[in-house]
Amino acid sequence: MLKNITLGQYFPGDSVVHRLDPRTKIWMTIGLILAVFCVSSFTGYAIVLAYIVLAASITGIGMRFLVRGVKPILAIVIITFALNTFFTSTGNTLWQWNFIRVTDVGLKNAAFMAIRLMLLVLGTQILTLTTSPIALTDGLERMMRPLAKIHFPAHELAMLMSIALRFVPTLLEEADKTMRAQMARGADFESGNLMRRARAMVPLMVPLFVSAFRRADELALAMEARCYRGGTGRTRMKVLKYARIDLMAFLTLAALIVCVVLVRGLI
Amino acid sequence: MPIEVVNATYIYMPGTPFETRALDGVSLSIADGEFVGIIGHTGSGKSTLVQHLNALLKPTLGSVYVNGLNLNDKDANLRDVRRAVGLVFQYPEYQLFEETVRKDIAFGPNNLGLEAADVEARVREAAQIVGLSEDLLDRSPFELSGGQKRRVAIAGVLAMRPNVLVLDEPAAGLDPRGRREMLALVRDYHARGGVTVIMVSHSMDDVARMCSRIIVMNHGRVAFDAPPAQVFAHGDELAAMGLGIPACAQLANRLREKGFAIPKGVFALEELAGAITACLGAEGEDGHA
Repeated sequence: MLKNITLGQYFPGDSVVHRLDPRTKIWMTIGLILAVFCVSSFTGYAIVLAYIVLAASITGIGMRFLVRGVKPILAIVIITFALNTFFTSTGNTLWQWNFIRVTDVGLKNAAFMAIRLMLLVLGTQILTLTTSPIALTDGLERMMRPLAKIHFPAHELAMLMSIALRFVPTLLEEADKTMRAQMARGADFESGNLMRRARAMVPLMVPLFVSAFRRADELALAMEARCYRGGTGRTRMKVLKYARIDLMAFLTLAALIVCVVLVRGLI
Repeated sequence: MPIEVVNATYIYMPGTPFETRALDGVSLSIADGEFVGIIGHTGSGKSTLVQHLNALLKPTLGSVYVNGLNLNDKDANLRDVRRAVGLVFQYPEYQLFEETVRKDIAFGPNNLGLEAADVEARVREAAQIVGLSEDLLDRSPFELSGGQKRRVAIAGVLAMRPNVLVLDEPAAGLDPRGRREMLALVRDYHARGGVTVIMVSHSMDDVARMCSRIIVMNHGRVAFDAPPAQVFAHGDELAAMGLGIPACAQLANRLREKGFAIPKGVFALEELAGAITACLGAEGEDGHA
């Protein structure tokens, strides 16, 4: 029931993209987002899409899986499309009803925004799909280290994130299991009005909270048993190091940005 | 309330690279009043199978019939099915949520839409079956011990008066005494008559002692479906599936291999002792002759 969420899930593998330094992938994702925002024409989008398709094929995950990840934000895409279509008043009117007008410029803007949103999700998914949560937070922590000078709690934040990410699948699984156990006792989560449904969540939420606290308690104990005392003086088993493939990856991104900017200049 | 599973296949997350075939063409039928043990290694599909029996999961291919009703039917009343086939999950104590034991046990009957007096009667009856004393009924379930919590959870299912009771590893994680008591409780419940009991376990010893029929699951398929004695004759195959056979059955098989005349189907301690004595007696006479 709750297990069909693919957005943000790690997809184990051994491709070049998987082996990239997590920091590289984070920087590249930021770069890709910037590139998407730089684009001012559909040709530019085609270039970005080609880049994403290429990256996806290298990872071995395949576009089909990536496209599936767009599903959860489809509602947002549709709303954005509708808002842009109906509330743009410039351009030639194509269709009108009372105060609602659809113009050619509006339609173009709407398509533009919708494609932008979808490309953003498609592109950023590659990061989370090819990087394990641990590697991701390691990378973030390393990237935030310079901020420690201004007393920014980089390590604590990274630890917080990795614990939170670590427990997402666990809690989902537990919610799923509890839900089924209550359904076996005749609970009904699907029908009735809003109040009824909210009340029907109690048999699900109480066990979930109880177990979340129990797990937090056990985890704290386990961490303390292994002498965890924050980030100071902590060394790493896997020290992050940029390698040649990271340089190559950055070069492809640079090429993409150059292409996008060139297209922008030409059209 | 007979149950019939016909060629059921269940695929988790189909179409994704995480796709797994948890059940693969499972067919079996369970008659009224049976006491069936389902056994298998972790990931053999036994938990998936039992969730099909009350339509919490529906087979990707194939069908499940409860009392002749096809659970795949769009207008099948699943609430009735879930009342008739009571499923106790693994570690059921984690599903408790109410303020008092009484309210928690009453959750199921209330969902059935029964009168308050009827609910109360069922709560008392269920509490009595699982051996919870009256004074515990007004306590918070979260104050109880692990074994007591589990009893409360089982009572919550029994209070719906199921015709078929399915228990997924009811004794998992209990200490030896709690284990013994829990299994005795299940056995006594079946002995009361009128109900079918299906118990999932990975302990061959437990299943051997209690059930009249054992279904062995392996890689989502039914490997064996027979009375205990016949299943234990396949010691090597079971070992290859990562399942042990009861110590007595093992000893009997070994002795038989060495050429002792131990009759097949002997696996209870007393029976085996008798068979060995008989064997030794016969040999002793041979020696004298």
